[in-house]
Amino acid sequence: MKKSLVVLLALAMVLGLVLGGCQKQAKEVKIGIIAPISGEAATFGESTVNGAKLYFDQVNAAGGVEGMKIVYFVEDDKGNPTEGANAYSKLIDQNKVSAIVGTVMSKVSLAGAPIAQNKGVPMISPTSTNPAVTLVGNFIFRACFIDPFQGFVAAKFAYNDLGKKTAAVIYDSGNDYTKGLAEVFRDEFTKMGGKVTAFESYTAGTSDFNAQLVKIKATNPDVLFIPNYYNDAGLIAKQAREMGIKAIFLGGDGWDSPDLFKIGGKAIEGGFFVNHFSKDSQVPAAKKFVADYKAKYNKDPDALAALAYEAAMIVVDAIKRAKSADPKAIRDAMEKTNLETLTGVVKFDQNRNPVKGAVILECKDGQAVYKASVNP
Amino acid sequence: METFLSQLIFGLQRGTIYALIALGYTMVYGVVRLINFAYGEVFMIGAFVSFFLVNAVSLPQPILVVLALLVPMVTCSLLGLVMDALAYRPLRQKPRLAALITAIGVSFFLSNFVSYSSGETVRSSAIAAFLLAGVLLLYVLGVKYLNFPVKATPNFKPMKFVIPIVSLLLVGYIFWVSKDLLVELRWKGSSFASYPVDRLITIEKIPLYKTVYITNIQIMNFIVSVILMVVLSYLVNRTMTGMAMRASKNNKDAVALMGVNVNRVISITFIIGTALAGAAGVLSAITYPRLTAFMGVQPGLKAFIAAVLGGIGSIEGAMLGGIIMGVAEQFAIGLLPSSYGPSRIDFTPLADGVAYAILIVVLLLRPQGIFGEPPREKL
Repeated sequence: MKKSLVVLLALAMVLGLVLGGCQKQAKEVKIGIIAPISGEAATFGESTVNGAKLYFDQVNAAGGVEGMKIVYFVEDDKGNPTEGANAYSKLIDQNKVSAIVGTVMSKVSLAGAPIAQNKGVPMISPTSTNPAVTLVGNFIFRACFIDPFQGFVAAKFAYNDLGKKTAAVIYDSGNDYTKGLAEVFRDEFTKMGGKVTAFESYTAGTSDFNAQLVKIKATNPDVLFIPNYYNDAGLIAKQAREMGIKAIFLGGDGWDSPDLFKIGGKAIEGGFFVNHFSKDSQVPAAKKFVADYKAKYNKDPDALAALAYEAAMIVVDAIKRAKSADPKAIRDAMEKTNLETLTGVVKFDQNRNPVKGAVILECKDGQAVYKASVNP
Repeated sequence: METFLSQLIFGLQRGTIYALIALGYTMVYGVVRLINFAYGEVFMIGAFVSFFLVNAVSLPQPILVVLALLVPMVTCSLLGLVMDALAYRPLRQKPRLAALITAIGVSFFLSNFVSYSSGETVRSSAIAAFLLAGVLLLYVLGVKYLNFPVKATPNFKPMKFVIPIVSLLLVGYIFWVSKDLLVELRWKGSSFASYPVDRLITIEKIPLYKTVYITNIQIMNFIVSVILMVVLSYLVNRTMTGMAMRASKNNKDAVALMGVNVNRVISITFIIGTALAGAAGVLSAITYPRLTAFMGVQPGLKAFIAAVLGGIGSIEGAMLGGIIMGVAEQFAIGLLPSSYGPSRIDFTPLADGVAYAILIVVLLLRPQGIFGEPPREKL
């Protein structure tokens, strides 16, 4: 009696598994999300995950995509290339995802992209702005503009809009993102007719930028370009002001974090930075996104959240047009994207970079407020 | 001239912090012959204790400054005591390498503990601390009454475990109650916490020469360091405890035969050394208000080099070594050409190597350091 019960139970379980498995195969599409949830850029990771989740949840609430429910898996890359590569392998080999939204930092995306390319799973980085990322192969996309454009926008804003003729730059020599931006800014600003008075580097991990800043102060620039992440940028701004440097501070999208104001305090006020998205945007889709985001997470979205949301939109749109959860089919559809997103219509160029404009934000009373738009 | 003066001032600012940590290295090495690599982490914990204190209480600025400096010093010296009792004392009769490796382990443990015990995981760390305290308590009770897991020997003193258990409970309690504070500050992982300098001191600039300023923070750093160094010199050279320390430095066995409790002397050395590291942590947090779990790694290494440079074991040497290191690094960055030249080659990263270059030169020319005593042949 007991034995037969066990057999019956086992049978029922196997049957359940098989049936359940079949059902899942037909009704589910798996998507991976990778972001630095901990580590030096933790707020980036949080926003990215929030933004992507928000869109996937909305799609699921509306009945899924092509009759399939979206199941997402979140992995933490800790802002570290090795951890990032592991996250990509895990999502593709263990979770068998059809597409990946991620990751945030260029250096980490560069470590993960070859894995996605080799395994034939399309990935779309929401915010990796280094041009090399999508050059890894035809499965690699991004949802943001690239560094040369960002550096150009910063230089143009400094030279034309602010009307400043001299600038100095301080950057992290060990980080491709800040180094790339610094070099583009230097070249573009010089080309426009401006003069770069100092071009100083430091190595990651230091908290003392005074030696570089003393050198910069001696050249008395109108603008100080600080293309670093919020964490260093705030501290640099603070030390520069304490030392008596009067230049206007200018930065890139790495400044986009509430923590910028926490560490930069009064010093960062009046600074400007280039960004992908402004929460003050008047585009209806963007307005709805800001409202939805605020309702769910009880705070304003930053550009990272917006771009993750856009990346999720692009993936879901591709699945819709591919009518399949097959990674190859999704990639092929993604390439032909022509989608109205939060920041305008997204189309990819031959290197799978979207063609889109940038905004300039101003640091005012502890908040980043909209200042101007710059189009390519 | 202006540039030179500014670089000098900022070099001194860097150097005073190195010097304070170097003092800890040098003191313990002098007495125990142990390089306590965990000083960088004590430095970090000093900064964090001060951070929590300043955020938790609101008092007038002058009182808060003193408290923000003293409380971390006391906490850190407790930590030093625990560190010595748990990690180093059991190894005192073992080969020196064992204690050295343990010191590296303690260093990793502390920085990673702080790194993981922040944000959402803070409660689990509190639980871990409580569990550890419980295990220790069970161990003591087991040995005392059940002879398990080891047989109680006559020199087994349960009282020795009181301090570690109490401090673990305290750490657990602090973590438990500070969860909301941490989450509110959104301090997570190896991300950073921003030190609220404004609550302690209003930054004022005192003009020195043309556009060169010196800030009241720099002056305060310097004065506090000098006071601590003078107190330390007095303690070591003029008091009985100091005499015991200096004697232990020469021959521990002979000192023990004279009726001096060597373990106690070593504990006191640890207390003083870690208190100095804690003070350095607070001063550093005020000067560079960004706190991370790994903030102690670089200064710790540099301070170690400073101690070797000055002659490890010598107090004046550590002071001078720290200042030399700070100023040398500052000028290295200031004078090395950056990539904005025709060559487009960036030499600034080499500045980090200056510390190590100085170390190599000193070790080649004068292995015992500037003030170090040459090793004596024992007959």
